[in-house]
Amino acid sequence: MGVQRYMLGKGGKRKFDEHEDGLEGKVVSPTDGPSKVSYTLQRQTIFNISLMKLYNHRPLTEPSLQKTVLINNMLRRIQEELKQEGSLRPVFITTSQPTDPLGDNFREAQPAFSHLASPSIHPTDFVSTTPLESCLTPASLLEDDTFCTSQTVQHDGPTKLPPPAIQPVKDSFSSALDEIEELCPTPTSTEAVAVAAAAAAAAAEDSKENSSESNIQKPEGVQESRTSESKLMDSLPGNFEITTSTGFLTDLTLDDILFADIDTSMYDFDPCTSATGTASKMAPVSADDLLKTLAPYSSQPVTPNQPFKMDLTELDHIMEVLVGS
Amino acid sequence: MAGVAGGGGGGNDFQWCFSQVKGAIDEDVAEADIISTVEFNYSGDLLATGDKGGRVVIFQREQENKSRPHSRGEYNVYSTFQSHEPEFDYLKSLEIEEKINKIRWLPQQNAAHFLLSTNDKTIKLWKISERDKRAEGYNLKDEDGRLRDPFRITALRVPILKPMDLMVEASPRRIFANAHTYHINSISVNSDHETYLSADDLRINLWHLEITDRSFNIVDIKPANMEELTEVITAAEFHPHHCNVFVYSSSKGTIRLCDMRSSALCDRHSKFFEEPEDPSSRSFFSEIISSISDVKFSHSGRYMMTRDYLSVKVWDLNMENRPVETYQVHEYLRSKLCSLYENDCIFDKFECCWNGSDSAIMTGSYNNFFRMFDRNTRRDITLEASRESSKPRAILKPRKVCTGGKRKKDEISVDSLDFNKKILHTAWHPTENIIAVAATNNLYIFQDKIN
Repeated sequence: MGVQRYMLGKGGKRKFDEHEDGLEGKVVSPTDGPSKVSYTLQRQTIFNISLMKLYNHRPLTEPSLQKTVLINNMLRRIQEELKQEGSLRPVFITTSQPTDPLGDNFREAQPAFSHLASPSIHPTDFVSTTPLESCLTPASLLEDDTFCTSQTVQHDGPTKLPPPAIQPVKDSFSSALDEIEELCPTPTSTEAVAVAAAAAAAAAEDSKENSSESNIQKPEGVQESRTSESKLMDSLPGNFEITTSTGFLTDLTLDDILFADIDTSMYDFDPCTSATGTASKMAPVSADDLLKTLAPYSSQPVTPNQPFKMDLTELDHIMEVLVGS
Repeated sequence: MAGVAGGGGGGNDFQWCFSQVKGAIDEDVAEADIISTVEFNYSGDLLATGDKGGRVVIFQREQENKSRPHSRGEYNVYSTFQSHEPEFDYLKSLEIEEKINKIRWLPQQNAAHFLLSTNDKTIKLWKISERDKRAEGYNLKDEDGRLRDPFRITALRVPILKPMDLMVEASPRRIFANAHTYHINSISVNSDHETYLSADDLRINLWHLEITDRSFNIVDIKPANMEELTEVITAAEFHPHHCNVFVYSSSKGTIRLCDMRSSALCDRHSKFFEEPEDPSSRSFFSEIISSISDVKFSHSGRYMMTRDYLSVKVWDLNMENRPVETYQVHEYLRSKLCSLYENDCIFDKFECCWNGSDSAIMTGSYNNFFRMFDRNTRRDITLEASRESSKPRAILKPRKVCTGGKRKKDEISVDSLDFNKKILHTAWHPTENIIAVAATNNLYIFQDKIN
């Protein structure tokens, strides 16, 4: 539900902000010269927000189909636009595993990215306090076999729903406000901040396109290569049913995923468990996404985040019936 | 200060006053107490509310008291019952919310009152009846209910009816379950008073009120491949007079009118209402804000009204290509759509309602504001449902949102609006100028001022 109590800071004076206009105000056509950048940033931000909405929501009840459809349409529209523009440039804000003990692997990939960005800005700074759920790229969560168990939930979730992931991102945005002043002189709104962050990412990634390609051979390579991105763009998952369509990461083999040491404790959904107990369990988005694309169930309209749950609970039921318990 | 008139008149100088407020004053609102639907019955004597906790509370209007002419019939609690309980879908490992999505009254046919209430999956027909007498002097059982030995009975007597304290009982008479895979968003009683429809995201079913084990599917927009799904049903309603006609709205801002006489499956509409998009106001959020959250026929049956995120539109059923009237509810939010998308407010489903004579319409907004539009004078007013203006018979002061530039006194700026205080559900008495406004967990009742 609503995250903020008020639109902006309570009682704070608002300054006229040209950049806010660029994000939300008038229609900016992609063909306008100098405003092309802000249109692209606007689009990127919305794309990121949409993805986060789809993949970070972990409700106890079925998510609204209307909402899912509208967000999906938004993503598809942006995807179409990007395809038409002919450039499959990276659209994801770079994310990291800030608390991951195996972060070394990730940081290894960083240098290609960071040295091209303005030195005072490091993308990981933006999301340094971001919990796992707000990572935007499912690919980034595939750190060998630790993606399920190593991450701790960084927030004390409310009893029913975990707070929308955008919240902690904003906190880190505001803390990095000084750093991005260069890019965005008057970031008085969170949107402007998000735009600036996206700008930093986009600017860096633009240059990255010219650098050498990095392939996702190992799962922990968060810096998506253009090839994997194009696959990502091509196969925006159908969120309504589990399908066997090409998944995010064709470089991974089935074995990596299916037989990896997966901690399934969170999927033991006990209706008697208190809601807090449920909320404190972890939510590896990536596992859901992968299994969704690989699972054989295609007939039931299951929500995108529950396929694995359904598989296991179904199996449990079947086992119970067979054992006769 | 001129307000918006309703009822028989229209256009006169008119003011709304506070009448009553129901609900706890506590700042800490329990989620279960949040009101999720409000509905007057056909006479306006009964007012039903449903909440997120699955409860239904019915208020009854007191008879007018000649010694107190100002309190023109207050609404007091008549009956409270638990309509729906939370359930668990074992197949999907998900909870089914007990939240009451809609309540619809049936026209009264005898002393008892009937209403339909629905959550996401199950519709229930409730009978609310009064009991003010009880029988005494049974032959086969004692006063405390124990059965008497039939061999001991030597004489017969006729039981006598004795008065007792009024008791209002609610009992579920029918349970219409297992017909919806997706979440029910609307129910609508037909003018034949025998059938009703229930609509979920992808299907609409037709029921007979007496039959619970069968329903007819009359609309199905589920694609063969769910990945191709781009549009859902958002609301549906039967025509108030033509029992074969109903409309349903979609998430793409379209309304389809269907005639059940044309075919059993009404997948092909008879009329298709859509306003062409204004290219100058196109944005990323155009589709989302065009999604229709509510559709209501006028009492006359000649018009229908739709509510999308920023506006209310009145359509003439004879003109499909554009609405005849458009009213801006909170246009100042257009520049905030990205933030509202971020915090999910853009998905809020506001309802709308007509007054008894169809001369005025009402809908809710944020910050506990609600808006009324007079269709004849084209005047509009913004009022607030707040505890501050809750003195008995206090006249409501019009509110104004400052959109930019210098903020005048008494105006509130867009950035100070409380987006957690949303008025999604409002209802207008069928014949008089009495309105019920649900503000989170409180129900406000306002009346026109008696001069």
